[in-house]
Amino acid sequence: MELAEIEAIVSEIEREKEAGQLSIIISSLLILNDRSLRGRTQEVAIGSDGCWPSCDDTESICRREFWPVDLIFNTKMLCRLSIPKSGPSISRPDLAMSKRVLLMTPSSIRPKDGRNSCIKNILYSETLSVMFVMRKNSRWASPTRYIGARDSDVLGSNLGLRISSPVHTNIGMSAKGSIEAELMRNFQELKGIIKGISGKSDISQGAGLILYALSCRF
Amino acid sequence: MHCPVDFDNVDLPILLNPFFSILRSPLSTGPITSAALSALHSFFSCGLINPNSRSLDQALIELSSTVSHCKFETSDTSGDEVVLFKILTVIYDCLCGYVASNLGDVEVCEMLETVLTTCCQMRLSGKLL
Repeated sequence: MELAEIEAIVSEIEREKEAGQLSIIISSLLILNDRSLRGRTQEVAIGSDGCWPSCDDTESICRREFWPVDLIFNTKMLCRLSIPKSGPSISRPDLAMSKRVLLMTPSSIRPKDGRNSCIKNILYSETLSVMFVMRKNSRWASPTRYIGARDSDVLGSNLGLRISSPVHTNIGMSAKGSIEAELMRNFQELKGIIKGISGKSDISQGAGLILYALSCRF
Repeated sequence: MHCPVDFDNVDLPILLNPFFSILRSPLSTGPITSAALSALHSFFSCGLINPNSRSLDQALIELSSTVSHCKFETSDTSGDEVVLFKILTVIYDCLCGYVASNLGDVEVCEMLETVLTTCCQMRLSGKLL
């Protein structure tokens, strides 16, 4: 067998292997095509430029700085390209696209600061979104019921102001109330943990986060 | 207080615990549970829950147990179905994602049982079946 033939076989095997990996990634991400989940993830992942490029704008996607949730764009594009789930044969442009997707698997997210920053923002935004939904519920709308008369925050609470942290007093707290306060306290602790994580703070990402919070608020 | 410098140094259960508490609590309503489940799905999508995460096995045990015993105040049928769909989505992320190989037999059985129980409910619409 000639060397050229061996090389051709090896390249074919590599191509099939990549196509197989691609099918796994696609199948695990196809769920993102659901409208509600996609909308939700889009809310979370407001990009560094503050807006989403259209799916047809391939160049703008290529120019974007790496962001883990870019996987969503690529999934959408791959779905549009109709790449078969398990088909070993894959054309060259699609293969190039698949390589780009494979490069963005979570294990290859680098540098660490960027990764930390991304995850930190996502954790913040998810915490905000859950807290926002909880605050809409009358049970968590105001913690007035759980504040003792001697607590320092009682004046502000009576004036209709929300206190930022849950009350840790056990005086006059029912079992149910303590469970409710516990749920809120967990998130406060999480915020404290996230604060200690290093990561570059990007003003544009911060602005995106604020926009997201405002869109939830109003 | 010790401040971790990287997400790799933080135990995954510590990060996920607030969301698990929401899912376990019978006081949470459908929208709240739905938001917590969406958060978990986002964590899978963005790579926070990945095979290199610290204490991943413990986190997956808690995750499967929590998702399988998820409680929330029922409201209307469509709202409840949204929550059920998101439960299935998180289970899909667990079973078919990067961390699937870290799941134990008990966790897999628990989650499959949840899927089958959901699918066998007659009153649900066809989208979940």
